[in-house]
Amino acid sequence: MDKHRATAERVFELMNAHTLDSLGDSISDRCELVMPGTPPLRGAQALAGVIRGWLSAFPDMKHEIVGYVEEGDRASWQMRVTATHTGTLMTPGGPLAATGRRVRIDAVDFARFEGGKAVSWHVYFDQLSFLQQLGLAPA
Amino acid sequence: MGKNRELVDRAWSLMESKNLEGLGEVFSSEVEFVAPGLSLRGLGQVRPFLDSYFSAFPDLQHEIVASAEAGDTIALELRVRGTHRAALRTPKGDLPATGRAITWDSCDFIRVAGGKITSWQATWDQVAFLTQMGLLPPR
Repeated sequence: MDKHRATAERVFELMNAHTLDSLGDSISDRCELVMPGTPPLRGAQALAGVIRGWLSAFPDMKHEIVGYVEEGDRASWQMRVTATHTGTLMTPGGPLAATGRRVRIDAVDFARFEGGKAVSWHVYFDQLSFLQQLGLAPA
Repeated sequence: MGKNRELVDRAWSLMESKNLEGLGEVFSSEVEFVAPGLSLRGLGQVRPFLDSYFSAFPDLQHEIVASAEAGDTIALELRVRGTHRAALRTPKGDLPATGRAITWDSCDFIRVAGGKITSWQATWDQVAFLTQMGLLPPR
C-alpha cells in the first residue's frame, strides 16, 4: 500500500494548477529540498518561490508520475515533466526571453515523509538535456 | 535487506571489481539501460558501455545514500566517485582524460523480473558532471 503517493500527487496537482499557497499541507516547513541548479532550500514557502519562477517561464508546465516505489518513510517516483517556454526564464547567465520551445524532462524525486508531510525532497534531472531543448547548449 | 537490493549490490560488486563477464548472472540478456544522453538495450550493448566507463574511471566507487524497495522495483539515491583517468566514450565523441576526481549524485530506478535486472534507469545532472571535469564554466 502506497501511503505517501497521495501526498506527492497532491503537490503536483497544486503545481499544475498554480495554487501553491496550500503546499504547506503536504510539505513541512523544515523540509530539506535539493535540486540541480538551485542552492539547497528549506520549507514549503521556499519551494513555492522556486516553482513560481518556473511557472512564470513555463505556465503550462505539467507533471506526471510514471513510476513509483515506497518503503517505510521513503518514496521515490519517476516523472515526465512537459512545458512550453512562453515566459521569461531567469538563468545564471541572465534572463532568457520566451523561445516558444516545448520541452520534456524526465526527472526522479526521492522523498522522506513524517506525519503525512515531506521532510526531505530531492529532485534529480539532467540540466544539460533541458538546456539543449531550449537551444542553450549544443545538442 | 530485500531481494532486489541484494541483486543490485551484487551488480555493483561485479562492476567495481571489473568482472563484467559475470554480469549475466544479474542482468537479463535483454536489459534496458537508460542514463542521461544514453539508451541501451541488451547486455551486448550494456557490457561495452560499462567497460568503457570503468576504464575511464578505474577507481569508480558508489555509495548508497538511501533506497526504497517494493515488489519488482528498487530506487537508489547514489553518490558516485571516480577519477577520470582515460578517455570517456560518449555518443558525441571521446572526452580525453582530465585527471579530475569527480563526485556525482544519481537516482536510479531498477526493475527486476525472474531474479534478474531487466531495467536500470539512472538520472543525474550532466551539467554538474561536466562542470567538475572542467568542460563547462563554473556557475
